[in-house]
Amino acid sequence: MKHPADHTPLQSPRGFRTTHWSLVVSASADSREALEELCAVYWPPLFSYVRRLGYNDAEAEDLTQAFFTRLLDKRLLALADRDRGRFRTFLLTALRRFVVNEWKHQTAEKRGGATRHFTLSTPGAEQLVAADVTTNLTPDRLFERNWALVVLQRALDELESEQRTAGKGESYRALVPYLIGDADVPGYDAVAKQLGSTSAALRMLVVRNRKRLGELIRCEIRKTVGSDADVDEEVGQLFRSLQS
Amino acid sequence: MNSIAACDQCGHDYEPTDLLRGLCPACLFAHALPDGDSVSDAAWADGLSGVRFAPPKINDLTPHFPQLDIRELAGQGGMSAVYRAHHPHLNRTVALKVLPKEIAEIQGGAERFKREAQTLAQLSHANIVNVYDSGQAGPWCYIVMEFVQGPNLRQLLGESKLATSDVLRIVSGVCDGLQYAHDQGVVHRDVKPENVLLDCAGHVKLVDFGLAKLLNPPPSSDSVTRTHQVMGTPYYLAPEQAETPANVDHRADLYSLGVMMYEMLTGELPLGHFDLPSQRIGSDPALDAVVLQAMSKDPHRRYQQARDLQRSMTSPPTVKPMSGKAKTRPRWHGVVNELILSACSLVTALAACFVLMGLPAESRYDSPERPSTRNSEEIRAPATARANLHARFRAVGKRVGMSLPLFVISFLLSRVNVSSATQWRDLSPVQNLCVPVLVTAYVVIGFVVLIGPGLLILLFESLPLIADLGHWSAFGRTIAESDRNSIVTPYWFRVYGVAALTSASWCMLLASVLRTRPNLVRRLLHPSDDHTTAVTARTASYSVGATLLLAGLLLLYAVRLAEAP
Repeated sequence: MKHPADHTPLQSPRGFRTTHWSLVVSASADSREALEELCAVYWPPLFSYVRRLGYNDAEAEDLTQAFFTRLLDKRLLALADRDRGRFRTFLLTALRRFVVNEWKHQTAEKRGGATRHFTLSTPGAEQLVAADVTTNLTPDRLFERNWALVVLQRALDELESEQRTAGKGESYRALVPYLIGDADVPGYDAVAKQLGSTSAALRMLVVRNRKRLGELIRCEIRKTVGSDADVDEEVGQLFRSLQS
Repeated sequence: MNSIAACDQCGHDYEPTDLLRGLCPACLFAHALPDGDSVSDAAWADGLSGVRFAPPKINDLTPHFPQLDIRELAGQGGMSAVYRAHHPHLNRTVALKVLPKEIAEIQGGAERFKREAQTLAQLSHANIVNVYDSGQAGPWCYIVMEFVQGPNLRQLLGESKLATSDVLRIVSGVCDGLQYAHDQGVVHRDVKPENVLLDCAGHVKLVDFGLAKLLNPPPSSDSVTRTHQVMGTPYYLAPEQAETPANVDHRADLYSLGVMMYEMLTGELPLGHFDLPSQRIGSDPALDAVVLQAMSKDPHRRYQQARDLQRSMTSPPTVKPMSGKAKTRPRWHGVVNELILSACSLVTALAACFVLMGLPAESRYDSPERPSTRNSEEIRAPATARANLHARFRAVGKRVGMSLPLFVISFLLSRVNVSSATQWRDLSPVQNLCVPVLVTAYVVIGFVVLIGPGLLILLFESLPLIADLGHWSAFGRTIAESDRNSIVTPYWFRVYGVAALTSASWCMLLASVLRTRPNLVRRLLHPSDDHTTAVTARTASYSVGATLLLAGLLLLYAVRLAEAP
């Protein structure tokens, strides 16, 4: 697996699959588990998209669940045009089609009680989408934004668990507020005192954490795009979605 | 409701959550940008490009609408934002349409908005969205109206083609609404798929009377009209709307409806030299006349009333029953398709059977235990047959292997053509006829190569057990010397007959599967296919199956007659 030359090779984090989603999809033998994992991670943006379309919570959850069940059961993913395109775009397109079809079924009173095999469960993800009712974005933009938030959440969780594994959990937690921004935030001295370290060392640590966070985000995004070349574009797009 | 915080670093608003440790997501995400760029103004502007105005934030609206519980932004038009809200006293979901400040500041913006409210308030019809309230709340002009849960027509069109019956139903609903509005002296002037909503029960609701014109125009309407022409989509505009906006009457709506109807039928706009819907998709030619008359450039040659359009559309000769597989195709189309399809599939099946099913006989013929002479009445002992089974299987394997290239070629051909069947309506009749033939060839050959031999061997082996069933007992067990040199013998007729019967059972099975699981064919044939292919494939399978069944029975009966003492 090649990485863009201008970035240091990404160290594959523990438990992360760094293959592109297309590869996950094409490896048919044990792909279902990997796919389920990927879908389980990215359901909240889809859920909130459906809700934003005007469905209430229960309906939206049903629809999202049914959508993923359909996706996984019927191997729609295996049929996806995987040479190009992003997982995100693919999911949204498929979801739109699914919702309209469901609506048609509903109006034709054909909707049956399909058995559900897919459980929407990502701890804490509810919080993420719970906030969306207060925003004033269109469904598409909201979907993008929530997607970005999920990516970010995954990367932050991974960073924290890496730090904890490395025995630096305490200092990491103390330095979390410094993760944002590039500018030096004053106040290292107090934290240094508390941690029994020097402010220079902490500054170093913060810079490294920020860099690692960026890598982890890119790593997460790599899984959802068709090729390495798409990573930059996807990062840019998701970033812009967070700014609105 | 989470509180909103402004980020110290980038200045953007965000909602702190524990998941992100209360940090600003944009600032965190910025670390992943190439070269570690932080917020760039260019990127920011790029992200906002195309947005004419920012819809007012819910938090800004809430203080001015104490009677409403505003839930979320439901949609955004060219001039207004629509929110889904709950009216606690009435206990119903309503739509709150708000005019953004940016638009209100544009000359005529607020005026038009207020006029829309007044216009809508005059109208009370099942196919027109209902207005509950309107007015000015603080800085906001607003309309509270019925909330329609469901997609708009544009969304429906974007996802899949509509069946002709659906098109007629929707157009009929729009006609009802328009006729009512016209009767009240209101011209919608912006009839387009975006402004036709469909609720969960499938009812049609006309919305967005923002450009509506009263037939007794107020003096200010000209300026409003000019703004509209800049912002509206030109494709649905009647010619006179562009040329002489002051003289627009209700027939402009009928023109727009005609364009919309064309688009619903064909999935395309009638631009330039456009094909008639019947040419494009094989719809009822009677509908061509409806669409063309509605789209006449001269208003006098159009339908003069929406109800005229509706009537000509729903008059008995033009409208087909709502159910039935051929509802979107003219009758001859389906008949010719099925005839040629059946003939071709019969030929294909027979050819395939001839190539592939002489096999068991041949292999027996070549086996060492085979007595040097035989007559057609001789029946070998079951033990000998079993002894030869192995050799037969080997020979079957050999023949299957030999026919694999044939199968692959037919598979590839069929697959290519099946893919193109998704544009079924866009193909010429000749192409259309080729598609099912190749599909059938694929199905039949696939069956004969992959499943047929196994089934037939099973059949051969079980025959001694049902030896009493007349002449069946002789099938596959005997071959006369003369049978080797001529294919016009009872033996070969039996081969054909059984082949046709087995193929028929397969086709019937396929058709039944397609009937009960129409989604299956979509997955098999094309992931994004619509209902049409399932119906086509089902029809094809039924007709092939029926033909083969008939052919098989006839052949076997003929053999029986010929061999009768």
